[in-house]
Amino acid sequence: MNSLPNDEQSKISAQQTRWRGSTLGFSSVGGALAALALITFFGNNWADSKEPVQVAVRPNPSATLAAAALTAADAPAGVFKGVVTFKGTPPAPKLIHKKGDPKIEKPEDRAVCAADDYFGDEFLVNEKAANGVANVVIYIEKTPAGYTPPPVPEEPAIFDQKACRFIPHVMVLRCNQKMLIKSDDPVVHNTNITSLRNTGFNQTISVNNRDGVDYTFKKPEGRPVPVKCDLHNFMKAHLLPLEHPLAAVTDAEGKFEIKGVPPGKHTFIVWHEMCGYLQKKLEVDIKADKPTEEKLSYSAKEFFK
Amino acid sequence: MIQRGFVVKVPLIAPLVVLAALGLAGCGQPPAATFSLDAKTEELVREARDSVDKVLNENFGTPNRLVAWEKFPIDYGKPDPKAESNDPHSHAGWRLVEGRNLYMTHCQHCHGVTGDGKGPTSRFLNPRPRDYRQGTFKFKSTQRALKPSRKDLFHILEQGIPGTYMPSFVLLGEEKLGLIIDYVRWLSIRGNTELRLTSELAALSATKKDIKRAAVEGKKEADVVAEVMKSVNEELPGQVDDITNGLAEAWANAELEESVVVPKVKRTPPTKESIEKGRVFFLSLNPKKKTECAECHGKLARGDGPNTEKYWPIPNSQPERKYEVAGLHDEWGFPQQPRNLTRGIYRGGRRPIDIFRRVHEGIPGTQMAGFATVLTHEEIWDVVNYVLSVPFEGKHSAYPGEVEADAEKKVATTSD
Repeated sequence: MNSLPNDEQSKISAQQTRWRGSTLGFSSVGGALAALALITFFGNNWADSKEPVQVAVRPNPSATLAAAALTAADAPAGVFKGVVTFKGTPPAPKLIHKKGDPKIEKPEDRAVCAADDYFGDEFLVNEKAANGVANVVIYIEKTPAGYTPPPVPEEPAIFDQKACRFIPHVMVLRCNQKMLIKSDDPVVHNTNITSLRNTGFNQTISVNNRDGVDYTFKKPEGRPVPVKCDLHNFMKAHLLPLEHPLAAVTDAEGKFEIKGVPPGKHTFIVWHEMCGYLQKKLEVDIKADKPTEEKLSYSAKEFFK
Repeated sequence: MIQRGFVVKVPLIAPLVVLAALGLAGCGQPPAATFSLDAKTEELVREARDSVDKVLNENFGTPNRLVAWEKFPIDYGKPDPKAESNDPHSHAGWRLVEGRNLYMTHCQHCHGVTGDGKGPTSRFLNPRPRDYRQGTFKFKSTQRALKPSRKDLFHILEQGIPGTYMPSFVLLGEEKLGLIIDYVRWLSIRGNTELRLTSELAALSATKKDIKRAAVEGKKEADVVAEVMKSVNEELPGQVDDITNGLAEAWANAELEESVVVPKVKRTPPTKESIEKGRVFFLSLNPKKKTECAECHGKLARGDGPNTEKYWPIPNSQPERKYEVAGLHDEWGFPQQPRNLTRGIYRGGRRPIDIFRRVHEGIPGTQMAGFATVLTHEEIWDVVNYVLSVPFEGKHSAYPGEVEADAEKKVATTSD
């Protein structure tokens, strides 16, 4: 694109490049020179053709929202419960750091974060409870048709930190439900939430902040989003905001229970942080009169794919 | 000249023709510029990839056939009724075309035609040119989670980014910079639409890997693809609406007054008391208001804290993997260093308000967290005063012999 006369343009780019070189210091002079050469070579007409550029303006008709005429049916609600277990012999837990581990260099951090041996929370198999797997999320992604979710709870979801661990390690909450990020540690943490559909969050949480810092997910996520602390690289958690309450996280024994599910056929997602989807489509026919039970069992192949 | 029209023709240059005839000029006339798809989009099964491509083509066009979708808060340029019909200003959308032409001349060699930070020069640069497609911009006046305002982008084009290869473009003048800014905002929206859409389709098992996996389980590949594409086609229109409406709102919100971070109190003058208070916060010596700045920036603020020697997990890796290089990484996956504050080079600007905003909100796309949840605005000003005093410690100090005459000695006695 030679929109500017060639000499005028190269004058500009030469000036800019010289300026750039001077701010970078000696180590970058070579790089700046290379960049200058490349910019003057590519800058003028690389990747641009002589084809005339056209533009079409596309109007934006006022969006007509399909009036979702959902009536809150007082349908009898079903219960979906069950247990997630590990099939086969689970791998031995991996030690992240032992009690008083010198790997954690700062003495004050060591006293808090390594007060005990820490095996991590990412893969917890309970051998005392028939290999039940904790922190598996079972949820319906989209609000089922004809189902009106109960109002968003007014009490905030509590996301705490203790002994350099996020508590809970995996949490399901509602969109637009206030979440309070707290800390019960005498060391400082920051909570770094990266998410896809929501705006992210990364603020420092004061030592022993029992009042908590607010954060609200505005939109539902399709999968649990990761949370980390940039001051302690072993700290992590996952949060899943949804438009409805039809979700559960397995407890220490691998058990889960979802109440208030409208009877009928539903597709659940089974998720675990080691592999993402354990099962992408779990078809369940929820009964109205008695709890629907499922025993879910996955092998190493599915957990560590 | 660019101001007169957007139908720009390049005269054939005789020597080039001769070279081409001799078969020496491998490139000859450059081909038409194209927007390239992200690697993740290319990982989708062909049918799904094509549907993403189609959405982008319909709503954004190609570099030579731009589509100016009025949904977005971008000033595409209204037709000038007084302009003659051969004047580009007589057509709607002329601002986008002029912005595009300026971008192709001044920006694309680093930032790429697509705005993906992968222009031909980019591989030689460190730090890498910004990839706009995530919609994450580091240096801005708005709250961390929000987009930058036009004013923020203008500030960067005017000042450049000190310590990087991003120069000042102030010589182009305000009007041209305004055209580039709107084109960059448009490119960011386009790129963000692609990345978001691809990630939604990947979640519907539309990647090549998913299809192969299903095929291994004994299903017919064509059936699996047909099944996946059925859900893709059902989901796609709704997702496009959701994503583009969200982006339109987000970029409009960035211009609102309440989006900007404004200190509640005036800057404390940089007295030795204020600098000393800031130093105490920086070194995390106040047990109730710990900040751990030194974990990354180092006790002497040289950008060499212990976190720069640790191996960090790659976000979203399942099961977790660590980066091969020790030290911090940005959200684009490139290694990065915490700022060495002794050099007095501040990428986001050296005005006290710039540094206030960096401390208040942190830096998006990086591991620099915000401290608004720990420090009051007065206390942030103390930190700003300390940070600005760091390059002048010791014998260059404004308060020689009083504040921090020997930083190293003092650190040694006050910690560990």
